[in-house]
Amino acid sequence: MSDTFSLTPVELARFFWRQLTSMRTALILLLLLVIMSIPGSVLPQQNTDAFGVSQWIENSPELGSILLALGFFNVFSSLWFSGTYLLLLISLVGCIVPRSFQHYRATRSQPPAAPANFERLTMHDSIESIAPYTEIFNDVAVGLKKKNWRVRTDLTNKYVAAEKGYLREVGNLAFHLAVVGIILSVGIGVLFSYRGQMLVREGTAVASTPTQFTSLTFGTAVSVADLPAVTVKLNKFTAEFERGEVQRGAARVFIADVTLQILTETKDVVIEVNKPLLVEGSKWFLVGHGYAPRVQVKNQLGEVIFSDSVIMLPRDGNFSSEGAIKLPNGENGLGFITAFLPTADFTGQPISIFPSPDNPVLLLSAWQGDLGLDSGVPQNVFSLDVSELDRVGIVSLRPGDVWQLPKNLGSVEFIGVERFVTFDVASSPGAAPALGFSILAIIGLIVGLYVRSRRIWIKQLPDGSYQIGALSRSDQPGLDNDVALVKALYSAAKETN
Amino acid sequence: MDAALISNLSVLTSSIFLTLATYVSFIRLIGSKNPNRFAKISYSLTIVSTIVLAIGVIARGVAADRAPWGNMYEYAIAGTLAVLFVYLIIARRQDISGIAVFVLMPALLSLGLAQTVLYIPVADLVPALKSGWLVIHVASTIIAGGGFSLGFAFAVGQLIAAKSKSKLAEKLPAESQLELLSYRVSAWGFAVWTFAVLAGAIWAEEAWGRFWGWDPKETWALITWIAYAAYLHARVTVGWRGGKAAAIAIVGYLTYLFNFFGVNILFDGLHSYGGL
Repeated sequence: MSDTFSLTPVELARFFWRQLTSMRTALILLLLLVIMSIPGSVLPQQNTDAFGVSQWIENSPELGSILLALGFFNVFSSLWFSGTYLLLLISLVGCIVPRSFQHYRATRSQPPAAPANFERLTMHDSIESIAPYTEIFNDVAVGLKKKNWRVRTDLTNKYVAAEKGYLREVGNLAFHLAVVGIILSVGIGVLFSYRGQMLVREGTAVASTPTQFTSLTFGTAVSVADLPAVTVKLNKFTAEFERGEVQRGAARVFIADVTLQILTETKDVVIEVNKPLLVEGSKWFLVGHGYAPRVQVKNQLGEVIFSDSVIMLPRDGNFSSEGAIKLPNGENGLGFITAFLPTADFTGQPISIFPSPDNPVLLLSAWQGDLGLDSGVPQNVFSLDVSELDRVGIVSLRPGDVWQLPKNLGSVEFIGVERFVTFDVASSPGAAPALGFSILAIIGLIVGLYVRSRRIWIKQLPDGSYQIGALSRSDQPGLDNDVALVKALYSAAKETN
Repeated sequence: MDAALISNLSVLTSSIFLTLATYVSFIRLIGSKNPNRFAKISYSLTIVSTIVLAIGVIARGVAADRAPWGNMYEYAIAGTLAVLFVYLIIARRQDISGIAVFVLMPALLSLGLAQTVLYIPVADLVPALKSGWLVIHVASTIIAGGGFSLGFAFAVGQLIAAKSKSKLAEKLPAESQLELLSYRVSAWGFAVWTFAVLAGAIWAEEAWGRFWGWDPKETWALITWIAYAAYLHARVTVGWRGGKAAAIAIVGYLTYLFNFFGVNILFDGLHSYGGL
């Protein structure tokens, strides 16, 4: 310990650098990352399940707030997780870069001299016969060179040294550098990426302007101006579900027929689950769908005051859906809490029992009063706050049914079933370089694992006999073939000389 | 007889042969008479079991008219097939009969679980799974999993063989042989796993619009990847070689298993279509 304390700052820094770039440190950092990732999958995470996080904290506020403060609900961007992988990254670079130079020098220098003691090598073999070494060594060297070995002949010390498999370390280094490349691509790519979500009803067109998105996030290096200028019209959405006994109700087919408008050009395209649409550098993914029943509301004079399809958010796998219709009109505003059941079942609580509209029912609960839309407080369009409203009535409608509202408030007609789809619109420019580095990583990995790096020597001992020694620098078998090769070259050389 | 029935009967027949093979390899391990004979019988029974299982997996694919790895049941039988196949290749080249029961017993357990707990009849897939990437991505996780499973069996054997005083250790292959085998199959598994994660990322970009999103399945795939990366480094780090490295390989395998069972059953993520 006293040595450490007497170090100068430079020596101390060098000491820590050496520690950081050692394999042992890298290993411990890797194991730490394993342990640190686990809470990221066990606990709900803010980026994937914000609702789950708030519920978790609600259920156990004390532990929840501590975990929240410590970043356990945002593990993969937390200080401790990022810190660990940044350290690992530095350790990796600090190890790989000097090794790259070292390996470059090794490929330019001669194979290392024969060790004094062959007994300690991976394999060794003796040849008893005595033969003149100059000719033998020349022939062996030529033979090895033909087989792409790098050869050094030392006639003074009476040995031939040969080395092969430099690519192994190249692959190894390429793999590690590629891993760094992947992490950098992802990290930098995030700055240039954006992602939004929009809901489009059948028969309607939506322009990709910020107000049309239900959510929209930008990396720090991009902005609204980078959004593609397109308008998307959903002509028709087709959904089919399993009707057989096995996995009944599971999704089978989703197809969105879309008309795309870029400036003045229009084009009909199809977007499917595994076939996103590429437009102006953005990708459009079909990520969800639901029902948007068409509803018409008339006032007491019989004038149409609302006629449109209404998006209802699915609440379960059979698309029991919920939403709201808000028709503000001062003190005389009308509001509806809506529930849509594509295949309604009333044996218990009203619920949908199949995702297709086999027995569609629209449940409406009507309310009257000041909806408060003018108050300036932003409201959720899918729910209605009824605390200040008067109840009008409740009803269930089938397509074509008309409900005459009590108190002569007008009428509501359920015209028919329509659908909406959810598109994710995303641009992630980091993906391409990350893909390139990933392919490099895999090639490097295979080369680094499977190319055999080995050295072999043949030397003449003072008593005139020969000895072959071979050293494997990988865990691949096949060194015996190399020894056999040198032996064969030796025998051939002995015959001809 | 339809393909689905042929598949089910084949898987059942395969597990009967595998039970016999496991039993015989167990006798080979604990008995003292004629170890070579028992080894040969176990090997032959395993070959039959593997061939019949291959028929079962193929018939399942024919019955479903797609790659036969679309749910947990299919993954388990295809995964077991991968393990047995690689095991046979190694057993052909070198004598590993002493460790056979360490491989066959988990394989049998996997087939048993598949037919009881995980079984579901043939069905079509959800749209998200209908992609050429299903073949590539899932097949590569199955192959990698085969490597990891064998690596696990060899690593456990290695740890037992390292305790040279135990009677069992004498009957196992040498510790160094097991270590090398464990490394080879695990390293192979790691390379294929790397590819599987990449293929998964490309598919995720296509289907969900992002190549990485910390979905539980993705997170655990990364955990497995890091664990095996740690194992490969531990093997060449002074003070970690041997037992400690083997322990990391075992941990790596447990994370792989958890990704299959735990994540599919416990967590609600984008990958939850295991069919349970």
